[in-house]
Amino acid sequence: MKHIDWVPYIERRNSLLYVSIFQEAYGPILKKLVGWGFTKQMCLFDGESYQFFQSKKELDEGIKFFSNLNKKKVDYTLAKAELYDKFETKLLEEKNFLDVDWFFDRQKEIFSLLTVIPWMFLDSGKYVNKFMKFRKKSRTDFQNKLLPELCKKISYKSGYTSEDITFFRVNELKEKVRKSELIKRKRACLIYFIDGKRSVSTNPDLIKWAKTLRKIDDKLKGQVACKGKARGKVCIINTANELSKYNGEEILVSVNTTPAMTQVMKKCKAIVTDEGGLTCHAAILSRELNIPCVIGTKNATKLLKDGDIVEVDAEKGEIKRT
Amino acid sequence: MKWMKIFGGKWSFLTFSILADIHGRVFKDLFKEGPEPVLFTVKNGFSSFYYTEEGLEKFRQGLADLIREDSLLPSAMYDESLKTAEKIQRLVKKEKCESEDLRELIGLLYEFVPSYVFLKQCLEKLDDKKRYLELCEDSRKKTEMLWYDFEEFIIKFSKRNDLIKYCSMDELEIFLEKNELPNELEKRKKSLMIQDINKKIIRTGGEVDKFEKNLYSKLRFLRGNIAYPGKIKGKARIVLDPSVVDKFDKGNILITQMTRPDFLPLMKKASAIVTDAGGQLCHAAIVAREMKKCCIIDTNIATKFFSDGDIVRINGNKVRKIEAY
Repeated sequence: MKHIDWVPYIERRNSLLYVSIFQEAYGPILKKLVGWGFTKQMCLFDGESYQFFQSKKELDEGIKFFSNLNKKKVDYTLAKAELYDKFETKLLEEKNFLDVDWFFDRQKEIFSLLTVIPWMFLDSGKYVNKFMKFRKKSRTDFQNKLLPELCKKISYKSGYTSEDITFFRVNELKEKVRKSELIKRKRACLIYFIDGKRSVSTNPDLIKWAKTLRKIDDKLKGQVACKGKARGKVCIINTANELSKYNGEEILVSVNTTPAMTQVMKKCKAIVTDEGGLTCHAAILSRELNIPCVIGTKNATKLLKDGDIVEVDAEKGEIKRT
Repeated sequence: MKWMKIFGGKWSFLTFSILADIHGRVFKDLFKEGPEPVLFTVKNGFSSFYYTEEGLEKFRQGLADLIREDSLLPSAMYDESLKTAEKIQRLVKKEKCESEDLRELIGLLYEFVPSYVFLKQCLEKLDDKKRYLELCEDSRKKTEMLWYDFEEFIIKFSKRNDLIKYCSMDELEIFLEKNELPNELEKRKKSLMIQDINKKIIRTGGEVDKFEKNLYSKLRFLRGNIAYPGKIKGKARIVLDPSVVDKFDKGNILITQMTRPDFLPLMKKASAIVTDAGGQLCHAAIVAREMKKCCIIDTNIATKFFSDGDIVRINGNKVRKIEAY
């Protein structure tokens, strides 16, 4: 595992179960749908958030593959994505949990078609407009409402709590994972899917090694979503629970803004995010509200602290500490 | 097989069938080693829960191995037991008890029992017991009353049909869905159930007496664990339910399945306490140490072996009948 040229990819705050569905969607399902899929994936859970890693070589290979896709294949994929888009709405409404395996299989395909593929097209710079409409639709309903309900159903009378179930890999749901193993995973773990081998490791040495891979760049630079300049105090908000610490007239720093934060975003001086592209939630909203906004800084939430005074230059896309 | 009594009291068939399912089926998945097979008896409203000697041994050994592997496990289990206990306590406070509530409550019990039993049984085979003793004691103090709340909830629910108390868990599920109860429930007032990993056997009637007789037919005296040492001779009083005892003289020896907080007045009067079940952390042991009264726990069958009024002598960990009533 250590010889692969890992690069940090995205960071999320969801669950191990969710991450493992994602890894399936990036790997075998993507291969089934378009003919190419990632074979080397790794995700580090440090007790708080999930940091995805991809192999640099493979990532370039994927971008190349997607920019060379022929028109016929793209149209076919687009038609399928549209079908699944409607299907997803139906699935969320019906809440058909009778067959858990069937449900997760469909969910993997939905992830692959409506999240991963648009993302790959965005990176390769082709067909962005055709696929971006699927990315715009938020998939938080699945994560916030459906998954907890499903976990509760799976855990019923099994001796596991519903929180325990969120620390299963999706392929482990039929097997039994020891409680002691789950408790170790809750502290920190490495979820990987390399050359067809799916596994979760709690080996402290491996975790220590993976933590060093998250290199933190000292320079804060990102993409400009809305031009302007602002100076003020930093307030880091990542989840809806932290909204109460916002005092107004501060600079909002977040991994990725969500619709729940809209209230705060209306009042802030500037917005800085770790992730996102030109069509992400923060970018769209800041243009609407005309608030200076820098996106995709990669590690603003790690380098900045609550209360730091910073200058956001959303002309050049730089953030300076003063 | 040699059966050992683990706990007893006034629990319903339904409660014990849920516990039997967790002990007999679920623990093996969660902890690698479970105590299966397990057995419980219900007779005249009193019930007893048994492990086999080997089952208990391998279960405790398995838990100790897990802790040796990961020393932070007990504190994680402690957090979990309190978290799930809190959820249960919130639910049982509800005035109404609908089918949905009962279903949810049973689901929560399945989440709570693993951490509860883990903390109860993990210490015995560990070398550094003291390190975790406080944690385990604290968890039990905070969660013990939950069992009474649960039992009360079942009794409240049984007002719809008194026989619900005698269902097994799968039969309850059918009742909640179709409102049907099996015919033979009337007989379960005196019954026993054995649960293995994927099968359960229910026997009714005379089988229970036969089972109990087998437990002590060849014994001359009983051996237990000393919770607080002493050398005492006295009149045995067998108390299964403290609320119906009319006369309990000072200096009598209290013999019971397991003590609970409502036994305290009797424990104050008694000169010694002998229980069927329990461990170093059980209520009787903790209270006896506090009161400095001789206490022998875990004798397995004291309430069956002695009869009310026998003169009994306690010496070391042995309890001997010296004069029958």
